[in-house]
Amino acid sequence: MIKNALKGLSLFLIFFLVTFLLQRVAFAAEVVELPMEELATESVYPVFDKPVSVKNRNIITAGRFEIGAYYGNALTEPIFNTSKFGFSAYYHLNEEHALGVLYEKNFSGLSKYGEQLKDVPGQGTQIHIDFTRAPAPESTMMLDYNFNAFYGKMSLSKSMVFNLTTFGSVAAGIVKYQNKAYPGIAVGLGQKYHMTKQFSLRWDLRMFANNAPIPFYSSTNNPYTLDPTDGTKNAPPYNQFSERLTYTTNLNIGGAYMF
Amino acid sequence: MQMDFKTLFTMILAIFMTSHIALASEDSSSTSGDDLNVIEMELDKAAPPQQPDYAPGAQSQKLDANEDKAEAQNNKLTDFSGLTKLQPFSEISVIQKRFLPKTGRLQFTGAFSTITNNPWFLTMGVSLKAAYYFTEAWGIEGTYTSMTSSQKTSAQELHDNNGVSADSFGFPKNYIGVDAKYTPFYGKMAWLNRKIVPFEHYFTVGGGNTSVSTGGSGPTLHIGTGQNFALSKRFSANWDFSVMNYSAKATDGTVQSFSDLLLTVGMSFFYPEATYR
Repeated sequence: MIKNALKGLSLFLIFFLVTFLLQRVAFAAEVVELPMEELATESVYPVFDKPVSVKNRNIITAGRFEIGAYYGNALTEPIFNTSKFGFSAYYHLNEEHALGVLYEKNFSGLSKYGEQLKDVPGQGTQIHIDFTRAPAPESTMMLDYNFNAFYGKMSLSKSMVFNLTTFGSVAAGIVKYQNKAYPGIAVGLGQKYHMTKQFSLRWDLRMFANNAPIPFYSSTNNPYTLDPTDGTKNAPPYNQFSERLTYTTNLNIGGAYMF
Repeated sequence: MQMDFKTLFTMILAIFMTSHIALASEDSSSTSGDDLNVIEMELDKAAPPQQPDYAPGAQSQKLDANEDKAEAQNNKLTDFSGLTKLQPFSEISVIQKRFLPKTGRLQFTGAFSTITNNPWFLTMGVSLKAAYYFTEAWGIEGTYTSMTSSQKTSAQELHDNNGVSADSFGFPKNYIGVDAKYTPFYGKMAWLNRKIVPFEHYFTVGGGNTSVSTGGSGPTLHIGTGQNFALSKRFSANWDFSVMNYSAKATDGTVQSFSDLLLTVGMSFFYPEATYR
């Protein structure tokens, strides 16, 4: 009886010892010890003689067409409605260069400042200026060149990844006012966020430079006036407004579809 | 003898079972590193059949260069049929450290600012910012901006031709405030396929106080968004757009609401030196 018990105990001890040893061996196989001095202490990018940063590009633009629509805001327009709608169409010559056209239609009416100036306190009297009597911008049509200098990707809190393009733009064309059309140019910077391989969201900031009629018409020594309460003078004809070079900063936000 | 056979059988059984237990424990412990598992799994799929005589610990025995040469000469592959069975990776996870870590670091920024939506005044200034990051995503930033303005041609024409001074529209002279800074986007951009620039996109929201040219000042809601481009592990270039919304007394004594869109472009310095994992 005692002999059997001792044998049973010895079997249990052998079983326990073998189990313990094997587990130690198994865990030991997971431990990899490396000298600390051989471990990298910081992250660096490799330097190559012929660097190629992007391989297997996810968004292919070369040889594709792109159409887009956007809302624009003329940030520095003092008098007339700052909102506009725009449409654009581009052909991508390659991954870096694209050529296209854009058309923008201005909203009618006055800006916040234009509305305020309808009735403002002057020196001892109220001043009334109706800028709807001045020629307003109507539309813009330009040939646009885009230089896609930066292509990359970004992740949203590691949960989703999408590509983006940062581009510079140069455009030339005409800016049409109610009285006539003026030649103009525009330079800008923008980014496109590619939600899919076809669809992207985009924004860009452009500065337009073009000749334009000056809406601040002086009624002093002139037969016309912008004051609607002055019953003695009529609204000035559009050819009475002088012109000068005007700079307008535009912020555009919209979407684009590539095919 | 019969008992000895039983003992031997029990030992073999014990060894067999414990080896399975040991393997199972390996599997369960490695599930914590999902990314690494995915890579290893995919690598295993494409790996050629293992050489039976290869052992990981054998590297230490290959110290002799002549021995390596001899082994290389003997190891001539003639059967490439296994290459036709290779499968492309269905998923690859890449783990890479952030080039410009921010957690626990201070960011000092000097920048030029301009108001982009004022048609009457050309307003430019200098912004000084200091931010501290609790995590890679969250930080807090203090901002002081001082601005100076000059009248644009439109303001002069409005005054000269129509007798209205644009001063009544006002412009901000300085702003001081604190923002919460949230950085959910992290990315990389390649410059003409030649150079990689790590960057991040952040959002800020906060408040402060704005002093206006009309003499008044008012509490300000400040909301912004921008990007930070890493130039090195200490320096970065950045830009941001921010809206300052505030109410302050105008020249005629009435309280007016102002909304300025500020464009800021600057350089940042990070302190202290980054510690890496």
